[in-house]
Amino acid sequence: MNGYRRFLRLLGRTERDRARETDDEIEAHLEMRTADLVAAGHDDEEARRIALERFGDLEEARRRIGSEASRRDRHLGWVDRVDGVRRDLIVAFRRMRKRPGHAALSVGIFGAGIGLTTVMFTFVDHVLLRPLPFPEPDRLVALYSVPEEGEPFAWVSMGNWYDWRDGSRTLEATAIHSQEPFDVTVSGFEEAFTVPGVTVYGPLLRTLGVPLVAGAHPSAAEIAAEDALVAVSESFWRQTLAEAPLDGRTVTLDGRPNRVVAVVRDGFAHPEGVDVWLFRPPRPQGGAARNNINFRAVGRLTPETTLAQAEADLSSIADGIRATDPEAIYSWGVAVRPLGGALVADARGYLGVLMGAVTLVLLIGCANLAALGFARGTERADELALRLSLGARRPRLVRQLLTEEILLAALGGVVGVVLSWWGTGALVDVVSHIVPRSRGVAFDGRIAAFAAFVSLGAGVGAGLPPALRAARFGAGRAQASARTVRGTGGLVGGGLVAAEVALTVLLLTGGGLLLMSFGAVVSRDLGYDPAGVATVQVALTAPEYRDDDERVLDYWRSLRRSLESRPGVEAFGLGIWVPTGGGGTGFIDLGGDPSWDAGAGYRAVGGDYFAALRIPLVRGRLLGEGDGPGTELVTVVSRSMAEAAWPGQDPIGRRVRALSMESYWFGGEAPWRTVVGVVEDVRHFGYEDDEQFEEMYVPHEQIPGMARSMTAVVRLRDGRPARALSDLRRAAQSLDPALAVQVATLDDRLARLLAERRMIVTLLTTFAVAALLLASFGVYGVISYAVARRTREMAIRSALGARRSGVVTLVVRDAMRWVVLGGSIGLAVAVSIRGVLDSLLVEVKSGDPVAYGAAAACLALATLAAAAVPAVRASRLEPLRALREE
Amino acid sequence: MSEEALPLLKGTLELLILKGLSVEPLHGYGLALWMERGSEGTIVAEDSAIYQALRRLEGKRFVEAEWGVTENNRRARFYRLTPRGRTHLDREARTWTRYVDSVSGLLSQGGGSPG
Repeated sequence: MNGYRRFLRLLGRTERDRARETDDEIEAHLEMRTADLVAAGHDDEEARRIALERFGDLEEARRRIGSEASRRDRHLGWVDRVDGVRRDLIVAFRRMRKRPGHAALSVGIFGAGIGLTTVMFTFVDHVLLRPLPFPEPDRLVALYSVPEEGEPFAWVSMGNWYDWRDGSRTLEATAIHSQEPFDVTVSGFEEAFTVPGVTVYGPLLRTLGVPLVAGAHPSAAEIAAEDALVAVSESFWRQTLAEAPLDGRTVTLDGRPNRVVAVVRDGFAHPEGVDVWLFRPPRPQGGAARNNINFRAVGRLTPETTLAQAEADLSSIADGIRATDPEAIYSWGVAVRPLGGALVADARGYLGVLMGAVTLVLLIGCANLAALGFARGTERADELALRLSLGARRPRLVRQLLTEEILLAALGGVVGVVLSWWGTGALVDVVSHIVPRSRGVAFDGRIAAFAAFVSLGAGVGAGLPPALRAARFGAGRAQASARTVRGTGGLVGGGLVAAEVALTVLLLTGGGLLLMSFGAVVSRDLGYDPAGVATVQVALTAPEYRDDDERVLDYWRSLRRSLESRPGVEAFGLGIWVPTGGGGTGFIDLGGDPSWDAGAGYRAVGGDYFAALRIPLVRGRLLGEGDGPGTELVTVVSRSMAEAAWPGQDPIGRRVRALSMESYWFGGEAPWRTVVGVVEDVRHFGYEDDEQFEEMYVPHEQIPGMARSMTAVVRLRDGRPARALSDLRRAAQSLDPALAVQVATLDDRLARLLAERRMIVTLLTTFAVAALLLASFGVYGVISYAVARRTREMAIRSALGARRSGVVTLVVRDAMRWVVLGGSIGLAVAVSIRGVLDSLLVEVKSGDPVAYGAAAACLALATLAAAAVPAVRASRLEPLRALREE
Repeated sequence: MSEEALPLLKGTLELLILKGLSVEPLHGYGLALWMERGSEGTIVAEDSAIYQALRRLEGKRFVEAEWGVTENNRRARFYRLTPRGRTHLDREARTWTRYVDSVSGLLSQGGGSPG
């Protein structure tokens, strides 16, 4: 122990200290030798001269001894640090073993905080921070269309893209693919099934630099020569094609044999989740087709090209298009965005909010432990005072106390890593279909480094304030007489509680707002009744349907007969696009009225569509069996469409043309349709759809060319469609085994559309509840300690006849003052930063006072409950026992 | 003190210092006296070399130093052997003895011839 402390003194030694040490020692040596020589009979001067001579050249000696000394100190400093850390750790472990409860609690809080933070960071890192997995990802861009007004958007027209591709000097390569992956029917196996696929024009996979497991990227010549080439995903190749060699291998997709040319390594699919890439030769386009914007474009910039240069280059081409083709309404420019950022643009907002939320939870946890540390610091003051008076240096004590907290945080970090390892895996399964780029999310070294860094930060954050104060307080104790010192522990501890509470209020109001918004969204009227409805989706992809409209209509008729005869079926309807299942919007013509230039949704329906979905009729009549191929062309419109197109007039009998949707199918000239009825508006895209309710419904039998892929909506009498799914599927499948049949319930499809919002709400409210628990615990801890410190005072007072509750009330009131302060600050901050949630809120304003009131109420209840426990316990304490314990 | 002799001298000096401290803590001058008397003047080093060697030994944690007071009430830096230093001394002393024995043994024989 002595030797150890001596080493410590070497630690802080400076060059000057060393010079003094050397000089003093040399002087002592010379004096001793001189004294001995004098005693042996030399005179003083002579003795000093001999002593100097024996010592050697004084300057040289000083220099040499000095340099040896500094080498010694460098070495010992290092040795001492390692040694010191080891000793601190041993002491910290010993203390931990002595108070296993406190250790477990701390490790638990650290572990939960670090675990949550790490899970969220894993997602943020993979989704937002890491570059795309392709070579030179900085050069990959997404090309956006720029309209005359409004924001650029991700969809481009094939016609424009050809011009961009041919005219650009800044793109090394570029390709387009269909906007969203669609269902591609795979047949030729026991039963037909569907996989997600995209149609591709141009060298999409080569442009990206997607790695292949087998095969090769098709050349432009190959694509042009053979119009049915396909690249498949690695998992599709392994599972469906049994890793067959590619030479000449074909697979039947949507009824056509496609030659498999390449296998894309899993994890590199673009767009995400796609199993088949259908390479198709260029389709010449022009004129109005320029405004058919159903594609997304990617490109690879030439080296050293900036986004701005590419944007200028492509926009000048767009200007040229507009000059020659005045109808090109989406050709006002081209926006060039980094591809990585464009893919995850939607996720950026909510991931940021969620990351912020877990960071708050971690901070609350640290504040909590720091508050606990302050309370415990007062307990340890005597021990620390003793150590200080025995000569321990203050930095040493701080380091010792800090080591304890960092050790706990490190153990918490281990717990957190295990939690996040497990939690990330569990969460990926749930959210990989919601969060872009989250399929490959996994724990790795980078995440471990983050967890270690956070653990260290949390340990220092929670440990440093109480350690600094404890060391100072310890010194105070050493000087003043023991029991009279009133530390500032209450104040700082109270401040931490206030901070904790303020942060909690932020999370509570955020969680509350999102929860309210969610509640409001799901209680919206959809305009139809989804409960009890099953959907049966079939695409007539087999070749025999291709050019045979009669056969197509016959199929749908037999499907209706087959499904209507199933037990429990109440009503059957058909639609090209049913609610939750996408839709098409096109320009319409009301007969020369120039006031109408917005588009309308277009829905070809059949059977008892409106009855099956319970869409109410407003006026006129519904579409029926009488509206067939040979009868008058009719349409039913939505209430919004009727009001917008013929305000204040009777819409029945009016005429309308679906220009973009029907021209193609009627030889280039869309026919006039007569409005025969008006139905209620419907939120076709789920609860969150509040954009456009102008819709027109037409009988599918009057446009069989479009009726190649339809979805049946089947209402079940018992309201339990899930149980009927397999029966319906079998019935549909038996009509034609070459067709893929997909079944679902409408409720499930609605839930899928709502999944993102549900995920955000679930996570954020979980964090808010965790924060509330932590804050309550903090209040509990601070009051417990405050009560414990004043046990003696309370005992004396009550022995003297005072009502015991008096002191307890005082303590509780004292603590609640901090809660109120923190709560008020939290509310003020929450109000001032409420804007961060705006993008996530629907139906609810971010300033909604109900959310703030509810957060305050939750907080008040939880903290009062937390305060009550130690208070009640204290008020029951027997005075005598309390005194004896002191 | 020639340049060539220094390495041997350095190592030897350190060994002797450890030995000198093996009985009781001493200051630098005390060590110098012990060497002068013990070797009857055969081994004489410049006094400053002792202090350099002591710094090195401190760095290796073979000795520890502490300011103290001499019998004559003078302030001096006392050196004490650490457990590490004692182990080192034992090992080195044995090696040294074996080396000296072998060298003396060879020197005391007549000239050898191969075969």
